[in-house]
Amino acid sequence: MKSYRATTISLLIPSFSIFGFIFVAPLLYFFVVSFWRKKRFQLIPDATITNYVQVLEEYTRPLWFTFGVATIIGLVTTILAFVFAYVIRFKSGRYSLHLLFLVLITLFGGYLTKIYVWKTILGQTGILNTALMMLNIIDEPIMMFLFNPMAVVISLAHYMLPLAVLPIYGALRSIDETSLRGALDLGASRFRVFWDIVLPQCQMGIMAAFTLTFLFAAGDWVTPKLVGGPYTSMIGTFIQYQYGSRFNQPLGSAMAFTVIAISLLILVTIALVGKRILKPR
Amino acid sequence: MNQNTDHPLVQLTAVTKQFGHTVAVHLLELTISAGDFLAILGPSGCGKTTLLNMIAGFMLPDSGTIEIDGVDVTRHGPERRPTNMVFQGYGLFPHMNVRQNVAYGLRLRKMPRAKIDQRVNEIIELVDLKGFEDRNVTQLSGGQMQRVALSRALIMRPKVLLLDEPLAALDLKLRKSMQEELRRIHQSIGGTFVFVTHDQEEAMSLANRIVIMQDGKLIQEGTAREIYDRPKTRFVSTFIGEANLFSGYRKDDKVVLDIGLTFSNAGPDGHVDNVVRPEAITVSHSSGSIQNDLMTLKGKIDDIIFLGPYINCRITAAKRMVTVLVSSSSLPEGMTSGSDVFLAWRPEDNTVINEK
Repeated sequence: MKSYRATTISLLIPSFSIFGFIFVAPLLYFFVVSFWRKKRFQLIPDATITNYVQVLEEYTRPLWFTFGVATIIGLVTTILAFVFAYVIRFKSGRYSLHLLFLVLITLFGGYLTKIYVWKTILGQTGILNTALMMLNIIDEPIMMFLFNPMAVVISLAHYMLPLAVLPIYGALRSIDETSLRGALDLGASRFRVFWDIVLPQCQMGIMAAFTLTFLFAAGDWVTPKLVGGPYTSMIGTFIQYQYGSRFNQPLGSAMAFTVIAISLLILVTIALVGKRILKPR
Repeated sequence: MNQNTDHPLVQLTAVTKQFGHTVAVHLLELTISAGDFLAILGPSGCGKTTLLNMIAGFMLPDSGTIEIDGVDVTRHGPERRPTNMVFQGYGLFPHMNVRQNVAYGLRLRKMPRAKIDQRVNEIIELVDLKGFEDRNVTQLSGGQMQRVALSRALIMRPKVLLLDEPLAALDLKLRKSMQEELRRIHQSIGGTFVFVTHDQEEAMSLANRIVIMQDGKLIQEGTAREIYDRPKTRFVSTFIGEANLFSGYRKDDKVVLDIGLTFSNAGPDGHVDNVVRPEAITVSHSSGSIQNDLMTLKGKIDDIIFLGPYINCRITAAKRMVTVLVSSSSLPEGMTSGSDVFLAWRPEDNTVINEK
């Protein structure tokens, strides 16, 4: 038994040390800093909550906007991913592996590449505008596709989709098809089978997919900057600004931890509500 | 559960089902009466599970009709049929506890809560699961899961309860006790049970009627006794119990076997097979004690296998292997491998099969 434990611990050391040194430790540092003050480009150790008060007073709009957009991206991506995973699992027979491979292959190609691709698709001389002009639907390029929140939703949903498919597919795969036939046999309609048997069993996968996409969207600041336009004020942009241009680390940290706290609150609420709705009676 | 016993409860007419080029079930006719405990028995791939799935509504036949209690349900899905199924892998709902699993079907029927609770308690009592109501089904043993699956189906009071290899996943001892349990439940509620199995012993010990399938066709039906005593084909004779098969021919109501024995038996001329069950044959040291009217063969014991209450003797006689089953107490003294023996059986123990 003892050697088992030793093996387990030694196997965990590498990942734990990486996680500890480059994630937990900096996070703790910034948490402490968020209670400090800044004076003439100097950090003054303190225990003040003024930074947090400032965040909640002055950045209410970006916070609302950020979590609104993140929730929309989370929902859109999770729903699309669920439909796709469901088709792979139950409706595509022997093509399911091909479809799954298709999902994986879209992971190829980096984050920035995909954002720029969307920029060229939605942009002034992009594919969409060119196509509409060729079809004589519009006379001159229209700017409404790019530089708005919608473009952010489209770009991020597209980027996150394969990552959201995987946890849902994993959850769906572990569902025993006999249990679905069992429900049908007991008189359940297709919808009841889905609601009573399928959904509760893949709750964890759906939650994982939503969490992944929601958190990524809430914390992203590159996409809004590139395709969001000037009025898409996601909080990530402001945090980056505090660190990069204003050298106000205390305020930036307070913003970051506010975002983390609200994110956790939203996720826990959604998880609890979901659990409550799908609870078997 | 009290049906009129005069009309057939389930009537299958010319039912055919094909998968690609494989014919799973071919022009099958089957009648199930109310109160039957019917076994559909056959080797794997004979179409028995397809047949059960068509009765349940999980598969629709390509042609033919299925009537249950006078209603044509051929095109109905499982949710619209008065049947319920106990699945081979149980198919329990892993996110629900025992009570929720059992109550699920009644909840779908929007039955009042109090009534559901009462029915659930009744059925849980019946299948002996009291005290496990709030357990998660994933924490149960195989036998307990089987009981949950059974009660989940029985609580719906189906006109026909279908069971797909119900005991296949259980170990031998549990299987025996579940067999008794199933018989007891069938007797106490008096429903109609139809189950599929590849295990002839299970079919014989549970069912009051057995249907034997091979290659998508129904080849014989009857009680266990009828099928064992009068198998219609070579396949049936060896599938239900062990059989010694002697081939020969019949001419003028007289059967002549290749091993040199003759007996009278009415029927058409031509090739025949003669079945003699291992327990119908007696072995003795000399031919002196054998009566004249018996069929006799001289042989040599190859092997003696002790099986507790029985002894299985493998004997070479007339250049073929003959299996004889004698009760342990009646094997003559001094008989060992290599002993020369005489085999004898009564002419009425011959079962002549004339298969085309």
